[in-house]
Amino acid sequence: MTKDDELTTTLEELDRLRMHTRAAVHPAWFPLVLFGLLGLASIPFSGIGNGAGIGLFWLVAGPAGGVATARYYTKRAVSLGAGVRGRAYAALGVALFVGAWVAGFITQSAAGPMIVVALGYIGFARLDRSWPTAAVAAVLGVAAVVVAVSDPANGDVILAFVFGLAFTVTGLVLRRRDPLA
Amino acid sequence: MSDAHPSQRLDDVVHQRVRLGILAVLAEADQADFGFLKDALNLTDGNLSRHVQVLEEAGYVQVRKTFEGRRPRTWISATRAGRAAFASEVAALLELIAGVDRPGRKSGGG
Repeated sequence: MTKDDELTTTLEELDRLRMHTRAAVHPAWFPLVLFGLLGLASIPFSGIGNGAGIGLFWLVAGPAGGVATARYYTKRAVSLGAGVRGRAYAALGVALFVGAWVAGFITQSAAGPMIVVALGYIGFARLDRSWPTAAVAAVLGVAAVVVAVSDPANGDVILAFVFGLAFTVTGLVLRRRDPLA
Repeated sequence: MSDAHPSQRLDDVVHQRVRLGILAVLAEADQADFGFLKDALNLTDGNLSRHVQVLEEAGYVQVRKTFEGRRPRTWISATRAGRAAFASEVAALLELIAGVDRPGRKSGGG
C-alpha cells in the first residue's frame, strides 16, 4: 500500500465515522414527521374565524411540537451515548415561532408565516446537516412565495397541505434509513 | 493557508488513527460517552482511556463524569482547539493526497 493509499484510507475511515455519528445524533426525520402531521391536522382549522382558528392551533401545537422534539432528541442522546446540545435548536425554534406570528400579523395571510417557517427549517437543516430538510424547506418557501404572489382563494389550505405532505413524506423516507428509529 | 509543507502541519497529538477517530466522532456529536466511542472505534476500555487522556492533556477534549443512579458515565466533548486541530489535520491530509508533495510537481499550478 502506498503512502497515498494509506492517507486515502484514513480519510475514508474518518468520513465513515462522521457519517455514522451524524446519522446517529441528528434524527432529522422526527421533527419533519411530527410537524408535517401537525400541518395536515391544521387544515380543518383554516376556515375558522378568519385565521383565528389556525392561529390558535399553532399557538398550542408549535410549542408542544418543539417540546416533543427536544424530548426525543434528549432521550435518544442519553440512550445512545452521543448527542448534540439543544441551545441552538431552542433559540431557532423560539425565533421561528415568534417570527411566524409577527409575519402572520403583518401579512394577514398564511404565506408570510410559511416563508418564515421555510427559512427556519433551512436553519434547522444546517444544524442537523440534513440536505433533505433543506430541500423540503426550499420547496415550502417556493410554494409560499407562489401563493403570496398569485393569492389563490384557498392559499392557506394549499400551503398547509404542501407543508404537511412534503414534510411528512420526507420525514418518513428518512426514518426508514435510521437504524435507531 | 500556511506556506509550510502540509506534512509539517501535521499535529503529533492528532496524527494518530485512534485520536483522529475520536475527534471525527466529536466533530459531529457535541458530546459522546465512553461506550459510544468504544463501539464506534472498536476499542478496548484501556486503549480508549489512554488516547482520550492524551487528547485531554493537549487541551483538545474535555471529560465530564456524571452519574445515572449509581452508574457512572463519562462524557467527552471536543474543545474549540480540538475542533480546529482536527480540521487542520484533515486539510493537511487532503493537501498531501492532492499531491502537493509529489517530486517534480510545482505547487501553485501554472
